[in-house]
Amino acid sequence: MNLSNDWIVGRRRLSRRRALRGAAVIGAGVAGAALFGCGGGDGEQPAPAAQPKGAAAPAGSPGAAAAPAGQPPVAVKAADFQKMPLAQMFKDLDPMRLRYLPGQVEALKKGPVTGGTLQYSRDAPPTYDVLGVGALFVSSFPGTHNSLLTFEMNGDFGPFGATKIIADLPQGYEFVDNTTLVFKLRNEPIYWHDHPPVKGREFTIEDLKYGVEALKKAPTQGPTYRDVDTITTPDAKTLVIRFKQSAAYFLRASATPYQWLVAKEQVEDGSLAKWAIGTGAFRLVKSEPTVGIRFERNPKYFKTDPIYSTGKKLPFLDAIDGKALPDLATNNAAWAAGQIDYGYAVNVSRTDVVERLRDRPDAVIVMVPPPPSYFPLIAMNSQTAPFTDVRVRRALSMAIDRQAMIEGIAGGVAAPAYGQDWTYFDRADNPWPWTMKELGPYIAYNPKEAKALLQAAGFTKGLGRPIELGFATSDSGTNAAVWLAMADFWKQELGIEVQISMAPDNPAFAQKLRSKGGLYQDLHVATPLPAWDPDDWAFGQLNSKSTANFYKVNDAKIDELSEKQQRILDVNERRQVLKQLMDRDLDQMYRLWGIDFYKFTIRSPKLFNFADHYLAWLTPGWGERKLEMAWKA
Amino acid sequence: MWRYVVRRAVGAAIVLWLVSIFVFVAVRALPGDAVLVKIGESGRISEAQLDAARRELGLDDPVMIAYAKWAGGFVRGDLGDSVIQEGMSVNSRIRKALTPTLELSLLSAAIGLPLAIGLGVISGLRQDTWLDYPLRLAAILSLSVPNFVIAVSALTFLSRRFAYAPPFGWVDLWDDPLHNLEILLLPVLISGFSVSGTLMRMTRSSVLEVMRQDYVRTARAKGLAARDVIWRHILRNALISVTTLLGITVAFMLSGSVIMEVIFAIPGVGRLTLTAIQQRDYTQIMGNTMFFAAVVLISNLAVDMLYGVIDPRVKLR
Amino acid sequence: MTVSAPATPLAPEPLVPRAGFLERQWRVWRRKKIGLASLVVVGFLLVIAAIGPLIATHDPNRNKLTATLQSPSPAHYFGTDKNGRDIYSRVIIGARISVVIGFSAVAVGITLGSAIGLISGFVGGALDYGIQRVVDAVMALPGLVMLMALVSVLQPSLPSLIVVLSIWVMPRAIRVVRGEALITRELDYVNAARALGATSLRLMFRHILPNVMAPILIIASVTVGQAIMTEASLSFLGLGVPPPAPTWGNMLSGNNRQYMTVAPWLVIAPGVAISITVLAFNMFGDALRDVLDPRLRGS
Repeated sequence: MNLSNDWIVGRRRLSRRRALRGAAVIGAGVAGAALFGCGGGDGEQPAPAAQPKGAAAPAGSPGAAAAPAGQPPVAVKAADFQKMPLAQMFKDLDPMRLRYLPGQVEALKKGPVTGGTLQYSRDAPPTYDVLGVGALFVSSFPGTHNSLLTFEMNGDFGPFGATKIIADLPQGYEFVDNTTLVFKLRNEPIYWHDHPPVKGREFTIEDLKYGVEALKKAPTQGPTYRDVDTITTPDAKTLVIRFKQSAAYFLRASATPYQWLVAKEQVEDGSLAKWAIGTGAFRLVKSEPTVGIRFERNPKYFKTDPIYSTGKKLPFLDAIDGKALPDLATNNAAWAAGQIDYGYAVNVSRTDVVERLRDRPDAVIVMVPPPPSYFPLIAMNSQTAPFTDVRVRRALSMAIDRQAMIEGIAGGVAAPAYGQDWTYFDRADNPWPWTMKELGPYIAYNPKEAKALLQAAGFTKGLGRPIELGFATSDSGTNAAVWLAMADFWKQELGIEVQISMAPDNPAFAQKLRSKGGLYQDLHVATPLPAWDPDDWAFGQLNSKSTANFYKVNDAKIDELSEKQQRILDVNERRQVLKQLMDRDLDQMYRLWGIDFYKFTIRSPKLFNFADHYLAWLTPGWGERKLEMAWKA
Repeated sequence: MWRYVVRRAVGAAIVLWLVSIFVFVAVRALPGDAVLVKIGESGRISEAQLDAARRELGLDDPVMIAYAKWAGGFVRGDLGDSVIQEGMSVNSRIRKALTPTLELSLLSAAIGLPLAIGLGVISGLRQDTWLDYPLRLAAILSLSVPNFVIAVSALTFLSRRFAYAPPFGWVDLWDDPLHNLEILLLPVLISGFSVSGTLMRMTRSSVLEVMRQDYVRTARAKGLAARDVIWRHILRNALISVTTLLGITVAFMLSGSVIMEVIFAIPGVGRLTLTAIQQRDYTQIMGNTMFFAAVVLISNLAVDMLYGVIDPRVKLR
Repeated sequence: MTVSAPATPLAPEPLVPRAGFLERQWRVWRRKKIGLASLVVVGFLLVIAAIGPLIATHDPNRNKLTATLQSPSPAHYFGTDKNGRDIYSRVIIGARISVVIGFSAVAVGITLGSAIGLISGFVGGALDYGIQRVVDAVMALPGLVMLMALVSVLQPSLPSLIVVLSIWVMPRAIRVVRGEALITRELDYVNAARALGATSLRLMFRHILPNVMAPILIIASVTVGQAIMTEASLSFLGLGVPPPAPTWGNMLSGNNRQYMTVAPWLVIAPGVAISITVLAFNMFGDALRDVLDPRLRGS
């Protein structure tokens, strides 16, 4: 089906690629302090580098109730939005405004409302087997399971970028030394959901050990544990993980939402795929493919309200109801009719947002930086001519006018793209994506230089033959507009004829990529894989020995740097190595980058404490614990 | 009569067998398989792991063996389990999806058919008059404007203008009749409209054809009232041709509902088949198509037998 | 050749010269106003398809990122789309593609179908039985969904779409032609020709086929419209000719539909184009039937 991937008000048709994109949360922010064994756990100060702009009063304090003078109103009119310059958007649509929503202010006085059902657009997944090959997809269904670790997120009270890693199910964690990580279980009892075969029994340290070991053996999660030596339980409240060598990526990779802790019974009787039974805030009660999915409150959930200091048990919501709405028009209609409570938007343009505002003028809208892995890029088969020549690759990149695409296709609400988490680096508190300058000389629009490079590489007219660009039908919509524009630039500036080869759906596309010889002949549309640690984009995507290296990049320098960064525990040092790798990647231009659209969340004014972490692709996408803390008026 | 039925039954069995072969081969020819569907583009899964997953799902048999296994099960009435949807049998998924599709089809027919036949008769009787042209135009429009354009336009217009949308989220008729009917209101109207076009034109031309017949002229010449003529001669004979269309309409409904089901989020058989194809769910695809083919064959047989009853000229041999 | 004779008691009316074929056709057509109009539209469409590139104002695939989503204006008659491409030019070139798809699919499908139907009906026996069962099997498949599967197998492209649509068209032609063949082969003059030693081949093509032409033409005409419609449905579901091809179906796809409220011209232009085309072919088929099937020639 022709699936536009633009304004997604909830979940669209069951497209794996779409789902994958949705199933991504990218690690961002600094975990360095935590890595150094400052003993994680709640309540610690987030590292300064990742504070979003305009951070105001800390969460939960009564002093946060009053809006400071000059704070703009939270509702934005469609007509105003149409004309709003970007600079104003940064101010008026900052998620930090959300804490001044009237309901929030009331809640801080009275406490949040318990009850209500969150309505959104989501289809039931075909399987819940998070230990199988489809983990990425499954894990976009948050709320039923806990993990070892997670990012600290407090809904409307931030932080909105990944900053601090905190323990999720355990009480806390501590790096005793560079290769020993200790977890302590909570004092209060934790229970599994009441559903056969687990039947609501208590969670023990054996469960924790089993869960972690299961992840270690699983195909998707396994690489996270690649340097793990032993997993032991010296007593009933302690789990110790020992590494063979220092693994700088481990904490953030382990916080990736597909690291579900599953029950032994389910793995042994094979029912893992059929039903999600965890320890999380919500129990799965209905799962019907093509109809929808429903979760209800877990009455025995162990966490209490961390925001409003009411001492109430989480979650606030009674239930979460997901309806399967396969078509975009259907989604928009449901949003306009008030049947779903929020829409998130990735890869949308200004126009899309305006339309959704027109549908519901009272909606609350927020703009956040996009995740650094959701946008499409064009991958080159750099092992075959003419793409083996770096001059050709650079020429292709320089022929693209990214600023024109930003203005023309996105309406200004986008930035140049590159697949690495910018918030990990020291960029003076700037959470917004890369700038053209940061991405090197070959990202700039320079058609003359591009032509000169092509000529130097020996091509007088185009590339001597038409080149093939492959994509899957689900890559239509605004993404399609981007790479169609890129193909057009090559035609106009360099005289290159691009032939588009369309795979009818995702499995056909995946088949083509994996078949012997692999890849399309020349180019194909791809996305950087979703992840939470820069290691995935450095090592995972670019190291010649990595199975996730679709692009067949085989660069000795990149290999060396990617292997090196795995071991460096010192954040600043690691940043430098990662930056060198990035510079090398951009210098060699192994992939063709487009634009990264800013992300908008638009929600019902009756929904509170629901702000998006800007790493989430889908809302409530990857593992955000915010579902636990959200409430409806 | 019985010899006829037996002959047809044998023919139908052969047809079903042919259908199973066509679909089996076509489905295996689709690039990619269920395992690739499960992983999406996750790069961390090696070929070895994928092959292991394939073995687990039983996808590694060579084509002939796989077909033999499937056919063996089919003959026993066992359509197997869905490859993608863990633990659900093909049968149960079809059964669940059948209710919405049947409801959609029957209601669309209930609205579309009487409308079409009624208007077709009127249009035929008043051929080339001021009544005929607009009716013909409406019929043609219903054929020429793609139904998904109508559906999407309607949804967009209603939701933007009136903040109204059908209450998506399927419930069965007996669980909540009002909710169920409200979901179906819009798609039934649009489907009914789309289908009625062809039927109306068919009815009209049968009416016209009958009207030219000598025996009709004779009846009128003999002074029979127009109404009697219409009812006894024209309608009866016109219905013969229309009956063929009924069979086609049934088939069309069941398969053509895909687009309506997608747009209106109705979990019907069409959508199930579509999803099964996208997910390379071999057993589900086979099950759905065999079911659909069986329905078509049965309805064709029923229509032909109906012919035998309605039209005395027809002798079923 | 004219023959005139004075009125005689045995020939109460004067014999008038028999008008030529074309003139007779014209007289019939002239009275079918709608048929005439549809003929004109179909002709117009074919002309546009033929001279497309001459009347298009822009390159249909040329992006212009500074002029995206513009409303209709003298510079862009139907406005521009998300990539700044001129919609008028895309509709015009799209006509060409639609016509190619429609006509090719129908031509191939009907020709092959007629041949198969002719042979099947004429030869009869086991061959006929076998072929008819195969046709039954093809027609028992759920339409749109199977088309999608086929397109997926062949990879979406212009040729594969034509192949798939031909396969979709064939069964109907086979059925109709076979039916006619069955009837016609029993007729006396065919038996006479056979007795005189005509070969089967000659019988089929010289004697039976002409009788079958009329229904074939009628089906062909209507099927072109249906083929174009089906192409649009397939594009809606993402399986049409790959972008950036300006087929009308592609232009109605998700990419443009989502802007319906803000830029309705994106959808109106191709939507109207499809509707008018299908309309014209359907009416043309109607008129053709009225003309060719003497039983129906009306008041």
